[in-house]
Amino acid sequence: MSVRSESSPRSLSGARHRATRPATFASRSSGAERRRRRHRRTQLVIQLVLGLLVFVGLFPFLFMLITSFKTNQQYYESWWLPTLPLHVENYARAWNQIQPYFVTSITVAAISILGSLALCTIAAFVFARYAFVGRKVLFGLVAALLMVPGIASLIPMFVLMRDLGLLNTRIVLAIPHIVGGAVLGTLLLKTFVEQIPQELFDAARVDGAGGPRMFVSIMLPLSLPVVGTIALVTVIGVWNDFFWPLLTVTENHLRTVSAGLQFFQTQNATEYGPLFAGYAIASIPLLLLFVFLSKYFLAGLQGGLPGAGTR
Amino acid sequence: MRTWRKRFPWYAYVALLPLFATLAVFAYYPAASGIWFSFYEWRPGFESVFIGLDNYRTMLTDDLWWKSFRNLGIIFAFGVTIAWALPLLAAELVISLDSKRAQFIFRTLLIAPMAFPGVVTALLWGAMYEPNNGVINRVLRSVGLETLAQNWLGDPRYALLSLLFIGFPFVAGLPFLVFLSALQNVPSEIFEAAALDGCGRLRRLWVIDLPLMASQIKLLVFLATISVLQYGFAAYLLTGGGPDNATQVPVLRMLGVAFQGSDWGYAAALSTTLFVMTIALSIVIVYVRREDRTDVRPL
Amino acid sequence: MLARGSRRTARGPAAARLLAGTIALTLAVAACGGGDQSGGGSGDGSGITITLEGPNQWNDSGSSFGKPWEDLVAAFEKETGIKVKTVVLPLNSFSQTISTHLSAGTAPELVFNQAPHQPYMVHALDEYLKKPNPFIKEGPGSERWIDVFHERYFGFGNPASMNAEGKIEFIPFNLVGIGLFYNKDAFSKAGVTAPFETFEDLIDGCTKLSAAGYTPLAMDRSDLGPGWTMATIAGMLLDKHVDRLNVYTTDGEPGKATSSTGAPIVSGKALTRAVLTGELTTKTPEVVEAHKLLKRLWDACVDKNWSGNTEGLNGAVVGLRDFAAGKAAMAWGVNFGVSALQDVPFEFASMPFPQITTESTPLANGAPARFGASVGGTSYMIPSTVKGEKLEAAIKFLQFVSTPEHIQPWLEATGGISAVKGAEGAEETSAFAEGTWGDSIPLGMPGGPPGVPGLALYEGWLLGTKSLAEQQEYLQDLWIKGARQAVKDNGWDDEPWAKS
Repeated sequence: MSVRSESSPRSLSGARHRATRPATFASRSSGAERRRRRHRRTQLVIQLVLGLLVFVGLFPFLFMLITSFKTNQQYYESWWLPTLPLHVENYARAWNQIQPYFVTSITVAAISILGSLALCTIAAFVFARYAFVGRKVLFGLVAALLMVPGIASLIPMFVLMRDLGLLNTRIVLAIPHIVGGAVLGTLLLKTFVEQIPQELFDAARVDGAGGPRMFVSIMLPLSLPVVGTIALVTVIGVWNDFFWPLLTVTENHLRTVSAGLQFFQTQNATEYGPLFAGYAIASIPLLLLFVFLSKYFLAGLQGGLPGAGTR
Repeated sequence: MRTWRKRFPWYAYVALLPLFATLAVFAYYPAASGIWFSFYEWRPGFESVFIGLDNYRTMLTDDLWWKSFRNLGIIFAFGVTIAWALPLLAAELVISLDSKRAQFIFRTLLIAPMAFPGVVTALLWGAMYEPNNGVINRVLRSVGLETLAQNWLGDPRYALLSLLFIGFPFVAGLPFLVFLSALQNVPSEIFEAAALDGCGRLRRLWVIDLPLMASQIKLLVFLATISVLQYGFAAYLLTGGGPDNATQVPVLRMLGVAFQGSDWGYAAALSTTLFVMTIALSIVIVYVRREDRTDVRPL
Repeated sequence: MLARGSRRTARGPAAARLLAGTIALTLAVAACGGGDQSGGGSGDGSGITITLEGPNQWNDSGSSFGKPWEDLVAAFEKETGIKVKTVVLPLNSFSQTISTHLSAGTAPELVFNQAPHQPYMVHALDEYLKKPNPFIKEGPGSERWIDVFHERYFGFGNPASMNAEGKIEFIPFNLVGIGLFYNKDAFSKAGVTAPFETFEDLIDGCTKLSAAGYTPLAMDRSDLGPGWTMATIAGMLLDKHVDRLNVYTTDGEPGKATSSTGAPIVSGKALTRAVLTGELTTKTPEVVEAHKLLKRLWDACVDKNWSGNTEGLNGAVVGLRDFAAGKAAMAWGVNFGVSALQDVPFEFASMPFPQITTESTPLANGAPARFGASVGGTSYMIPSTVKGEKLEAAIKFLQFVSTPEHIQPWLEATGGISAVKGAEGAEETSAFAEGTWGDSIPLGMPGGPPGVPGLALYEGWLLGTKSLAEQQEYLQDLWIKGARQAVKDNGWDDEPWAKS
């Protein structure tokens, strides 16, 4: 109703501009059309602003890519334009320096994801759907772990690994991330599972499903988005961790990419090209994973199910 | 009998066992060990000497440690204001897009920077901040704004802000995602009603959007508090606490004491203090949250 | 409801199977991921394996110190049947890694010595040094191992060789000399002659170089730039206080301490005493003057944006990137820098730091510029957790590399300066260790407490964010803290001056 009433004051000017149109349509279409045009223009502005934000956010990485194909000479001449010829050999050199570390990083990431998911999915399910004595306390204990600064645990963890004979293995690299992923995962998943409507579980119970069955058949499929999120966060953690690997692993072929990048700065102290090529290569696996998981990841932080509404 | 079984369902505890067993060995034990040894002159591979509160007494006279907290104030202020303004703007803009497809594309592109390892991001920005050859100063010089070109990471006045600026426009991160998902969960009727009532976008933001996101915002503040106390990644990689202690933060002081000073007992004391502070602040925030709505029924 | 139910049932088992399979696969891969503990022996019974852990000072590989090193190790293995594994650490973080390993007691048999540690973490080698070196059949070293080393740089009583407890804990494989590398082409273009005789010549030269468009002295964010410069300057100015403050021998007994060449030096304990009693403060005129000269040099010779340099640190040349690119005309460096600079498109040479004369300050007393070729190059030590056979094997390795004929090829190939008599180092870098420049500094500036890097001591002053008064207060506070820590660490609490 209000739409029409707003347009009528303008119908006269609309009629003037649309002399060729039948007068009966003048009032409604011109006003609405102007609003549509304004709306389209607003949409365009919005898209431009967002586009600008995208560009600024991705600029450093674009810069990295462009520079990775240059020699120092080319870089000094023009810092931001791609210059021909493209020096692909920068990538060959960087690849040679980084390549031994890829296998380990990927393996450790895989172990970390599986380990943390195995632990946190079950725990989150129990916390979310069962009531028992100590539920809040136990959950609080888990959350409290987020607050422990890493450095104090560093030496005890390290000595523990030595005593368990785990130094120089891939497992030792994964353990801190399994723990971190499990803690974060329990937190995120519990919140998520709590929001699954009770009716689903009741119905499953009526159908005769027990706890484990409900876990596998209801919770897991529905929480794939959050699971994807946890997987991604864990992998990011593995990829970023540069201190622990240097500490616990001394075999060169068992080191991770992040540790390898440490050598990089001195290896390429004088040349930007291979340095940035190395950064680019080190980012590729994470990028791929991100693209692959982005569907789940983006949906993951939305929390509740569609239609669950706000609480 | 049945009530007892309902309150202590054995299977729940058993199911929680793997998680807690792992955490007990690999998380609680090291953390507790760290706290325990803060009362010792800790010699991890050797015999440690009990010295009671000595380490804590040293901490009280350690000005470098206390001064580093001042920087945390700046970091926190930055982190909950400027660093949220752009993500909030971006989230609102994305919501205002008509086509779902456009929303999806922009959303993905905006968070794409998260896909790069943090080390790479930090080092890239470090290269951009180079005072003589870095991108930023080069741009400023080429457009004639040479007076604005600064020694970004080397001038004590700008170093901390330069570090905080890494990751600009800050959209690729948790706040954006939280804001966006919260806004997306708002039923569109509410927005339409607001538009019908003649509510402008800005007013709507203030009066409707933010209150609807109140609990998410509280969660973000909680996470921001924890992460501020543990801030140190970029500073470690790029400035090492300098120049002239301008980017000194508690974590770096702790690392310095541990690795350069080999004083692990003292480092443990510092770490325990940080831990206690984090817990205290978190309790404050959690109690401000108050409600904990769950739909849990005993099974 | 029912329809949904059946869909759920169908998916469940399949997912579970997939999950189980993936877990099994990953565990299998993980198990293959090597099982060797660091420092663990090969266990195959065919001989002992010792592991050596240190930063790569020669090239940029993550897995090998280079062919000369491999040859040295191969020669050792051939001679003794003991295998040596080399673990390469990156320059950016080797110090923290080794420090943590030592603290946790998990360090391998031989570790690079330039990692912060407490004396109890490593073996004292004095007893071994008093016995013969089995690889040396005649000449110095055949009766006492210590004799094969140049006393000037390494020996009992030489302050640079000892730890806080007065014991020797490392063996140098070579010496490091430091000096100023300079770009010959740049110097001739600017009309500057090298070497600089006096401090004024240096400042003058810097002005000419700036006018010609060069950055006179390259600098990065390491401790070395400000540290070495201040050490050299203060070493000259504080010289007149040596006699007055020299009250303890290097063993901690009352008396005069001398270096192994007989020159007087101020021992660590005497320096700590001087700080705590107030005999040496930041208001002492020579200390103030040293600060002023340092600032003068910085203003004239160092790029004003030096503190924002994020190039990453290397151990060979301070400010490598600008010097190698030909933008900077001089750079502090160690003799290893020769290999880092081998591809530069200009001719370079090296020179010592100039002398400070009364032309620059009335407080100069004619002391020559000294730094001391030091044992700060490649030196390794043995963690105290190493025992028994492995300890003997590690000692053997150290004895082997102290043998002139065995270490000679490696020295030549790597541009090293020899720490032992009878071996000639590389030609190009011998000047770093010669003359008065090669003598050690008798009295240097005190340091701060552990955990405060050298750069942090002077950065504020150099950047201008601290006035002289502020710098004095700041540094004095750190000196006191450092001295108190030294008292605690060395058990000097009973001394009258140590009671606060």
